[in-house]
Amino acid sequence: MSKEFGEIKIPKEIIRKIEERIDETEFKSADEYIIFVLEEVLKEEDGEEPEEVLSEEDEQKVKERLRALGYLD
Amino acid sequence: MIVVLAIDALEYTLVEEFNCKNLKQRFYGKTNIKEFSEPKTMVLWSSFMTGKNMEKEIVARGDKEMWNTELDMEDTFFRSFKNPKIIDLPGFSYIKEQHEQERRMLKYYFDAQSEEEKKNIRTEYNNLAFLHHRRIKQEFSTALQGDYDFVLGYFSVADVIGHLNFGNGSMMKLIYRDLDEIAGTINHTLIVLSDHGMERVGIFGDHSNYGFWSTDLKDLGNPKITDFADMIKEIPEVN
Amino acid sequence: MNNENLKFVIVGHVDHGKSTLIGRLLYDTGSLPEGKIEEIKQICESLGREIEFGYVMDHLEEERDQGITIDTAQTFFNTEKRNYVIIDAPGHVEFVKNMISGASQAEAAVLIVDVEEGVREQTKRHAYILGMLGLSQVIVVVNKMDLINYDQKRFESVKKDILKFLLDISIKPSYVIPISAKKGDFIANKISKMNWYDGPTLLEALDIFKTKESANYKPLRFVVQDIYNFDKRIIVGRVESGVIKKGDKIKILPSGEETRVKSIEEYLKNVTEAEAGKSIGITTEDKLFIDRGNVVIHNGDMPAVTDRIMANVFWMDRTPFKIGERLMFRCSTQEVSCEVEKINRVINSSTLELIAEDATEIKNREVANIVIRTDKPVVVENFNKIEELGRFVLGREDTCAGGIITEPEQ
Repeated sequence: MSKEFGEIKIPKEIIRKIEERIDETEFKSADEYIIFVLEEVLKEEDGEEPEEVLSEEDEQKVKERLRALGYLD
Repeated sequence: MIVVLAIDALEYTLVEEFNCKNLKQRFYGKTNIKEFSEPKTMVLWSSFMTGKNMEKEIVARGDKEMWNTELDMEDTFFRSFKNPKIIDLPGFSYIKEQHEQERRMLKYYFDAQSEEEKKNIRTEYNNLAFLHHRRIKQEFSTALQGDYDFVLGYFSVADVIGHLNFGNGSMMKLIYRDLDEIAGTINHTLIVLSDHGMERVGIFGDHSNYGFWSTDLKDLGNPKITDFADMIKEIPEVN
Repeated sequence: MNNENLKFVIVGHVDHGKSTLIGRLLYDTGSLPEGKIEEIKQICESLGREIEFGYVMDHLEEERDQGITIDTAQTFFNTEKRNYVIIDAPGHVEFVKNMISGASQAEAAVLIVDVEEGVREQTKRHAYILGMLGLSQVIVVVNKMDLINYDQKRFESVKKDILKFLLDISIKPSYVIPISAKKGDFIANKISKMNWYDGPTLLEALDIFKTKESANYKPLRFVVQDIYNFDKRIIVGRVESGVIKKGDKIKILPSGEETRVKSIEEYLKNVTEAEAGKSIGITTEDKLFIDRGNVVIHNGDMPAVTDRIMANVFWMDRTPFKIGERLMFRCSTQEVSCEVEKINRVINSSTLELIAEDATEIKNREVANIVIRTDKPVVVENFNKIEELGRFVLGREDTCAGGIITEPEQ
């Protein structure tokens, strides 16, 4: 991940809540906490299989079926 | 007027899931097509209109030639009507060029090597099928205003689109909604019938081994597709 | 925009366009994921039809079912003025249950009527339940104006019908607005085709509504939980509404004895006042006999001290209630045994049909209007005035019903 930083505005209320929460954790600052959470979220999303991803196995199976049904001569 | 909404690959479980009230009508259920070795579209519709199992005859023509089947009015139950209108029905008034083009693109799709190419072909394939659907909708709607005693509209969109997109929930749902609304516009005795249903294989769709039927007339139980010819002939409006 | 939320519910006949209206509100306020809209728009066009916002909602619901995105049971959007939450209960049962239990309190309601169909039985039942739940901020929208070519006469006739019915159940809608959810007319935007209507759009009308008043501004209700006798005698409890300050002149209910607040005791804190929602202790200048369940108030605005309460209850226990059975009445920390003197009406919470009048039992998921007689006087309020003391539960060993007080009888 790039070590360049950009600025994002976050409601103060959220920052206040994060600061309350990190007291009991190993996070040193709200910044650290936010970066960690966002990385986790992005990781999750990257890992998700998009609906459109085609499995070759499915494709092969359907291809054979369509051939049997007379669609692909 | 008696109307048959002939919908290729209309899947019972999706009609239920999307609660398509107009497609369901008062009585609805699955048809029994187990007598056929494969749920082939041309075989099933030919059997429907003749009232007899046409598998042997159609299959004997070969996979390519079978799509050119054109049965004579005299061999079908349509002859019982004075002025029937049959739109795009496989084996009778099938618009061959259109459906040939669809099958050709299906083949391109499976032959294509890259994902990018497949994506483009799918878009083009979908557009082709949707365009045809819009045309058929128009023709069907005009026919309903006409002076016919029997109108059969064949809608292929659920099958054609379904083969490459059955895993796309929103797309299938919108197609079922549209078909349901078409059924909702019909103010005549209506039979909704499909040749077979569809089951999901990833993003794709394969034919399932039962069809769908519905009517307001009576509970037909688990009828065979060949039962409909006699059943429709017996509807009082025919005489 | 300030940070307040206004929670509202859209009710009406199932086919009168509720889901299209929700979709439209989200769309017009830019609250929908754009990619999805485009995708759905494209499929609709392919099918040769206009995009319908009902489809968009369907799609979002589908995603919710698959656990993908937002919770459409609570749908959010905002205007320049504030945030809105549309509470979309899956069915009447949940809606009534949530409203009564306080799980999701709607502060306003939009009642939708199809201009072609007019006021239907379901419209009436829904309106009725709004009345029963004490919702007073109501907007009526007369939908599908596009289908009648924006005809003013037709609108006025439907408006007359609905106002007549609402008057019967004591609901005065703030506005009756002609709209087309499908076309987006008078949701966010005005259109010239209805220049005969000079009222606000739906969003403008919603912006005029008030959010729930902060409980701090309501009269003081400090409900006693316990008495601690340490070196001093501390009365522990929760400020349900209002603010209590050191030096305040207070009255204890139900005894009616009066004294002053000597100190406010908050754990490890040095305070002189406590606002609504705080659990604190107080000491008093005079030593009075105070017990759990007593309510401390300021002089002046009195709650009801009564043993007879009219209320609407939602029964949520498999074992039906039969008249004659004794139950525990719990309101805040007050707990007394009670009996149900009369079951005025029982309503099916799902169909909202009237099941019986002057009934003898209430079954699971039924709503009933009842008269409760408590063994000892309790301090309660009309739900609409101070909901913290207007809401209660009835129990056997466990809670079996939730209710709101419509009329504490003196």
